[in-house]
Amino acid sequence: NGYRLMQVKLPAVFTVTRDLNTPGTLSFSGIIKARKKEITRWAISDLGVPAEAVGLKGSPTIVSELISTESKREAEIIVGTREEKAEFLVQKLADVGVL
Amino acid sequence: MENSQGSVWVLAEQIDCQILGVSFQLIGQARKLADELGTSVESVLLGDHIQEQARLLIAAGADKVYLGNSPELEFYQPEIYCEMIVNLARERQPAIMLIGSTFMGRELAPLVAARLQTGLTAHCIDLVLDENKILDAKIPAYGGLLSIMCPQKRPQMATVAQGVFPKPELDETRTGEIIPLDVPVDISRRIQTLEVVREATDGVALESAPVVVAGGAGAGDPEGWSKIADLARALNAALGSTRPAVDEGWADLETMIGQSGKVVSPELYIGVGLSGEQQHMVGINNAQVMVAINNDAKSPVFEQVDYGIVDDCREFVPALIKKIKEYQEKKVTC
Repeated sequence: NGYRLMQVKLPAVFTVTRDLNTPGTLSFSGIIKARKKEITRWAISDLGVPAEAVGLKGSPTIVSELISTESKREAEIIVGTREEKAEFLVQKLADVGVL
Repeated sequence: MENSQGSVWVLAEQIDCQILGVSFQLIGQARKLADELGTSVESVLLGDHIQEQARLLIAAGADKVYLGNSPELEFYQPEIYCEMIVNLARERQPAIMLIGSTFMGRELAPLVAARLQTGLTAHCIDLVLDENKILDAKIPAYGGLLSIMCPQKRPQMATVAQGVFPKPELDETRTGEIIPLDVPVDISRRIQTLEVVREATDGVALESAPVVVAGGAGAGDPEGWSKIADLARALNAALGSTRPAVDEGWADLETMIGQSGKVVSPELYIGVGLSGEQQHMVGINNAQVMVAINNDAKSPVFEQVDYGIVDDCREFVPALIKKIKEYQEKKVTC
């Protein structure tokens, strides 16, 4: 429940979680600059890897089927005024032994 | 089928010399798979001062434990752990390798899979064998269950979150072999731990909580979220969240319940202001009673719970807290 401080020799790959930071807001000039930037596109031939090593052909795992699952529950919708519904729920919680 | 059927492995994990619950849960499931395959369960455990812990893995169902016990292994280190596991796997050729999808597992499993050039399915919610005794790893998707197979490459690897499988009974009379492992000397060590900072946990841990209150996008804003937090406190419940609530910044990622978050098995689950998306609902495993509060009568969440309250959670939750407190006060004075 804490963290470890690590020292890493570069180059290295890091994966991060959402806790890393809060991204800044976009600036108008940033958006303009982004429009003017050239995006380099690489094809498999640029990467120097064989076509069979990538994509579906290169994957050791395959999806074999998709089964739909049925829910085993269906809600009993509690009716009444807000107060009545809250009372009903409190009674249910007491019945379950939570209160 | 010419797939060699080696043993079923579990890469166990220890933190501070305690084996994590998920490792025991995986030993239990590995035992079922191994019995069906007619093979053994073997576990790899790396750490320091963990000889006694290795015996617990045998009591849980392992026939063999490969034990790396050295100061260098005290904390998970990807290069050393990966090298040891990969070398051992190449030598022993397991058919299946299971790892808990903890921080360690989520990093180590892909490292090992890439080195062994084999397939890995992450965050499985079930593991069974098909008619050809190939591992069928199930993950939730598109409102249903996807079966992922690794037909050719070995071992077939899968990660599973804590709480998906039950904890097996420990049988101290079980016997097994403990095989010591040496720490490899001649590998690069580009990653080092400088400092370990432990933080105290406050509140009830989600995975073991008997009552879980989970909030979602319906909270609306931090004020709405704090009301849901109040409800959790009033019930002495653990407070969980959905991805939208985490993205809004109301809740920490560690509280997220779902496919890539925590798995809970409470007696009572109350979902507040959430729509019952599969990615969240798969994180709730065998709750006895499930309740949802949502202001949309047509919300899909109402098809997945036992009791539904159609109301604005921002208004209903304070009313509910008031009734809970009244009930608790009455109990005290009786």
